[in-house]
Amino acid sequence: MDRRKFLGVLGATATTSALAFKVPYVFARTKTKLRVMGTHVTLQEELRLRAMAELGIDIEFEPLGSAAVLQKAAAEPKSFDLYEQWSDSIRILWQAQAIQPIETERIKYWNEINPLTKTGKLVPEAKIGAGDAPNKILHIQPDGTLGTKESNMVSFLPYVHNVDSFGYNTHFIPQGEPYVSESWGWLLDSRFKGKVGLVNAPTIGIFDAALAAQAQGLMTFKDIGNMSMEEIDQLFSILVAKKQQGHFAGFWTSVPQSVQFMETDRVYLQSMFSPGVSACRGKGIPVTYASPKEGYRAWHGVMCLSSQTQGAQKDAAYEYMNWWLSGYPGAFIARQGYYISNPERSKPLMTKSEWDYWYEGLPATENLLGTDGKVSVLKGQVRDGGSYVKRFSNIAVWNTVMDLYDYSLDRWYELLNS
Amino acid sequence: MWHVFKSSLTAKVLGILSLFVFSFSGVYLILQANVRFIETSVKELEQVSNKTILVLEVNKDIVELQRDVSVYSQSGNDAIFTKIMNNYDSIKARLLLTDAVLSQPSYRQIIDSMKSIIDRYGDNLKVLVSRYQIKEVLITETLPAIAEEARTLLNNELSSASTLSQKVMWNEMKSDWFELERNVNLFLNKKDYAKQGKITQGLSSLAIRLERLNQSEVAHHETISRLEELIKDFDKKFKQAKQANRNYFSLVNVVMAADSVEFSSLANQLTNLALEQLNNIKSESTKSVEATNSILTYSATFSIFLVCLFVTFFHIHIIRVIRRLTHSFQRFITGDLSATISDSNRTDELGVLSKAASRFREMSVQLSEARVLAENSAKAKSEFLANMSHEIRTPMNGVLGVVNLLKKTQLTQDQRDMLDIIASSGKTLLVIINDILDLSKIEAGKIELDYVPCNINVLIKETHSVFVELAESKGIVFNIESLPQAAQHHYLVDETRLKQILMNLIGNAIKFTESGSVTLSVILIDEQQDTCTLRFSVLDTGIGIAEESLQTLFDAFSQADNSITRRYGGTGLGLSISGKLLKLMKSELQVQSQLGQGSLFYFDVVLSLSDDVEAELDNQDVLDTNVSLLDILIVEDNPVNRIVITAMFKALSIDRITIAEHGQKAVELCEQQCFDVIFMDMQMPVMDGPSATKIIREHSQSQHAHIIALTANVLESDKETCLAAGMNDFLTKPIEQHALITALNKVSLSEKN
Repeated sequence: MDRRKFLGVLGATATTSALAFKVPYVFARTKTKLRVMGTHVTLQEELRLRAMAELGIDIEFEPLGSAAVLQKAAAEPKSFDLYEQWSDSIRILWQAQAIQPIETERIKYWNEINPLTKTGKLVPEAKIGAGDAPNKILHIQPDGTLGTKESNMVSFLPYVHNVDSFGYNTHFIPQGEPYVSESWGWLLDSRFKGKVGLVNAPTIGIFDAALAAQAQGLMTFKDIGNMSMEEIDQLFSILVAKKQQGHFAGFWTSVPQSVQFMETDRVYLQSMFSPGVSACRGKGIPVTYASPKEGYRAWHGVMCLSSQTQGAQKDAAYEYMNWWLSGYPGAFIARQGYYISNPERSKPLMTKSEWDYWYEGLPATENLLGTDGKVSVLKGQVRDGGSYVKRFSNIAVWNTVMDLYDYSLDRWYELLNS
Repeated sequence: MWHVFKSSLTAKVLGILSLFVFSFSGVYLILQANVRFIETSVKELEQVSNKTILVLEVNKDIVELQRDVSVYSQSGNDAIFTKIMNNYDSIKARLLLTDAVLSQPSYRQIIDSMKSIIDRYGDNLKVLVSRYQIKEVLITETLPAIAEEARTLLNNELSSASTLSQKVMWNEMKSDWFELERNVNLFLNKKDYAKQGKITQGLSSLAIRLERLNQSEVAHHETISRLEELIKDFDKKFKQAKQANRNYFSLVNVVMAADSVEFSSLANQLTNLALEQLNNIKSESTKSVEATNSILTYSATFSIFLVCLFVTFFHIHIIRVIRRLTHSFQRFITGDLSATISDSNRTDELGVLSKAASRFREMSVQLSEARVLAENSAKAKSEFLANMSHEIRTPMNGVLGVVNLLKKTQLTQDQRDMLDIIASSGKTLLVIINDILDLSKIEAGKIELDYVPCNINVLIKETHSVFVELAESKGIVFNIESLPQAAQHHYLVDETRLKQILMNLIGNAIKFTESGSVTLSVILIDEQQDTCTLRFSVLDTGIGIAEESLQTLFDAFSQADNSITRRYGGTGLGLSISGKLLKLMKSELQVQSQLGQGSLFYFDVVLSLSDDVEAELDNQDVLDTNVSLLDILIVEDNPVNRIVITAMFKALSIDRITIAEHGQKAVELCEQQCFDVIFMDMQMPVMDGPSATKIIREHSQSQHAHIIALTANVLESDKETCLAAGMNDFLTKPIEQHALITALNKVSLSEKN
C-alpha cells in the first residue's frame, strides 16, 4: 500500500478509531510484536498494515496451508501469539493445550456477536448442521472441556465464517439452479471424470466427498459429522475406486493452487473456498459457487490465543482481536465473501451496494471491488446462494475433527497414494 | 520497361527465362527454409526428450524420497534421514538444472509449481525430525515413565497389602493399569483407533477405584493422591501424544504426501506437455515435409506449365509469325503480291521483319508495274514497227511493182538505167527495212523458228548462186565446200533464217574483201543417232578486224569502225541479227580475225535428222500448168496493190480474176460465185480479212476455197490470227513473184491430191 492510500484509509476511519480505542496504551513504550499464524484467507497485507497503523504495534503474519498451519500450531504453541483458522482445528488445539481460554470480558463487542456462534442457528428456523457447530466448541466448561453451556471463557474469538461448497466452470458445465439442481453429487459424477479437484484436508475434504457419495446414492451416514469406522471404510473404498479410474485431477493444498487448477483447466469443478472463486472470476474464469440442494459445508473462523502467550503480547493479542470486531475488518473481509460475527458494526463501513450484495443477496447496483482492489463482482450479479440468512439456513455439515479423525487420516493417506 | 519488352524478342525471351530462374530460386529458398525448419525440429526434439528424462528422473527421486520418509516414520533412523536430506538436495539441484533448460512459459508454470512444492517439502523436512521426536518422546519416554512410576507404586502397595481384599483391590488396579497401558500402546503405535473408547473407560475406571481406595481407612493417602496425579498426567500426555501423532502424520501423510503426489502429477503434466510438444514438432515436421513435397509437385507442375507457356509463346509469338512471314515471302516470290502480311503492328524484331516484307511487296508491286509498263512499251514498239512495216512495205510494194511493170514497156536507155536505179534503191531500202524489222522482232521475242526438212548442200548451192555474180564482178573467187555424200541427210532447219545468216556473212565477206577469195564451207563435226552437229564457216581474205573492235562487233548499229560505215555503207545490223538468230538456234557466232589478213566467221549448229523427204518442195519458179484455169478473187483495199497483184497474175497468164475492195464485198461475191483461190488482205475498211474468211467458211459457194492471206504485218501473231480464222496460207507484202508462184503451186498440189 502506498502512502497516499494509507493516509486516505486512516482519515476515513478516524471517528471509528477514536471511539474504539479510548483505552490508553499501557505497553506503548516498547513496541510489541504480535505474531499471527494462519492462512492466506485472513492474513492479508492490507489488514496487517491497517492494524499496525491503528494499534501502534508490530504485527508479523505467517500464512501457511490449512494442514500445515494446524500441525505447526498444535505442536509449537510458542511459535505464535494468535492463531487464525477454522473451527475444526479447535478440538485439536485445545486437546494439545496449544491455546488458552479467551476472556469474554476483554472482548469489547462480545454482546454484538450474533446467535450463529452462540447457538448454532443464525435464525431460529434454520437447519442445524451436523458435526461441530461453533456453539458446541465455543464455551469452556468448568471441567475444562468444550461445550454448549455458556461461559465467560471461550476457546476462540468468533469472527469470520462462511459456507463452502464446490465451484464449477460454466464454460464446461452448464449453469445449474441453486438449491434445486446443483448437488454435491457432481463431484463424483462420472461425466466429469478426470476434471474434479478436492481440497487436501481430511477434516474438510472428507465431508465434501461424503456429501457427494450420499448425494449420488452410493451410501448413507448415520451421522455424517461423526462417521463410524465402517462408514469411513465404505466412503474411502468408493473414493479410491474413483481415483483409480482417474476421476480426480488433483488435491489442492492452498487457495492459489485451487485457482491455478481452474485457470489451467485442470479441473472443471472442485472443492473451493470463496476467495478462490472470487480470484477465478477476477481472472475471467466463469466459476459458479454452487448452492447444493443437500446444503453447505459450513465453517467458522476461529481466532485463538496461544497457550504460551502472556503479558504484553497477550494484551496486544486482545487489542488485535477487538480490532477485528471493530467494523473495518468485517467490511474488508466481506469483499471476499466472508461474514463477520457482528455484521452491524461493519455495515456503516460498507457501501449500500456492497451490503446488499454480500449480506442481502441482492443484485449488485455497481461493480464491486474485491480485497485485492480489482473488480470481483459486476453490476447486476447476484451472490450465489442468496443472502446471509438464506445461505446459513442451509447447512449440511460443519467442518469437524471427528472422533475417528486419526483413522480417516490414515485412509486419506491411502487415498492420496492410491 | 514494358516498352523494352514489347520491342525486343531478346527481352521477351530473357523475361521468360528470368521467370524460370526466379521461380526456381523461390522454390530453392522455400525448400532451404523447410530443411532448416526440420533441422531445428530435430534439435528441439532432442532437447525436449533430454528435459523430459531429467524431469522423470527427478520425479523418480521424489517418489523414493517419500518412501524413505515413510520408512523413517517407522524407525526414526538418523541414517535414513541423512539419506533423505541428501536425496532432497540432489533433487533441488536437479530441478534448478531443469529450470535452466526449460524456458517455455507452459513449462515455466509447472516448473514454478514444482519448485514451490520442493521448497515447501524442504521446509516440512526441516520440522519432520522435531515432530517425530516430540511424538517419540511422548510415546517412548514420557508415557512409559508415568506408567513405570504408577506400576512401582501399585506393586509396592500390593506387596505391603495386609488383607486379601486389599490385595485383590490393588491387583485389580494393577491389571486395569496394564490394560490401559496396553490400549494406549495399541492406539499410538499400532493405529488401533478403536481402543480410544477403552482408554477413556480405563482412565475413568482407574479414577473410580482410586476414589474407592481413598475412602478406605487402610490406604496410604499419599500414594493414592500420587496415583491420581499420575493418571491425570497420563491422560494429558496420551492426548498430547495422540495429537503429536496426528501432527506428525498430517505432516507426512497429508501435507508431504500430497506434495509428493502433486509433484508426480506435475511431472506427468510436464511429460505430457513434452510429448505434446514432441507430437507438435513431429506433426509440424511432417507438415513441413508434406509442404516440401507439395511445393516440389507444384513447382514441377509450374515448371511444366512455364515450359509449355514458353513453347507456346515461341510457337505463337515467334515461330508462327516467322512461318506466316515466310509464307508471305514465298507467295511474293511466286508473284502473288496479294498475300497478306500480318504482325506488322508489332514493335519487336519480327515487326521490323514484317515491315520489311511490306516494303518488299510494295517494291515488287512497283517493279511489276514497271515491268508491265516496259512490256507494254515494248509491245507498243513492236506494234509500231509492225504498222511501220505495213505502212512502208505497202508503198514500197507499189513502187517496186510499178517499176517492174514499167520495165516491160517501151523505154529509152536512159529511162531504163534510171528505172534500174529506182529498183535497186528500192530493194536496198527493203533490205534495210527488213533488217530493222528482224532485229525488232528478235528483240521483242516475236521470232519463231520454223523447222522444215532441208537439203543442206542445195541450200549451199543456192546461196552460192546468189553471190557468185557479185564476187566475180569484184574479181574475187567465191568457193563453196559442201558436205560429203555420207553426210547428205535431210535436216530439220529453219531454211530461211539459216540462209539469211549465211547470206549476211557472205555479203559482208565479199563487201570487205578487195582481192583474194571468199570460202563458204560446211563440215560435219559430230554425229549422234538423231542429231548431227554441223559447222558453217565463211572465210575471207579481206581487211580483217582490229582486236579492240571484236568486242562490239555484234552490237546493233555498230560496225568495227565508224569509218567503215562511211567507206562501205550498210546498217551495221547484219552481224547483230545473225548473232541473235544463232542464239535462238542455241548456237553462237564465233569470229577469228587479223587486221589486214582476213576474217573467219563460223558457227556450230545441232540439227535433227528428218525422214520426210517428200516434204521437200520443188523450188523452181515454174507455175503449174493448170493454175491458169483457176477462178481467183483478190480482196484488197489499196488500189496500188490491186494493180500490182493483178499485173503479177497477168504476167503468169492468169486471167480469171475478180476484185473486191473490202471483206464485205468479198463475202457478197462468194455468195454468188465459187472461187478456187482467194487472196485476202488483213487490214481493210468495212470488214477485215479474218472476219470475212470466217463468214465465207461458214456458208457460201466458196466455203472450200483456198484462202491465202496478204498482209504487210509480218508478226507471227498475225499469221496465227489468219490461220485461226480459216485461211490456208500466208504471204507478206511486198509480194514477190517467186513467193506467189510457190503459194499457187501449193494450191495446185492440193488440188491434185
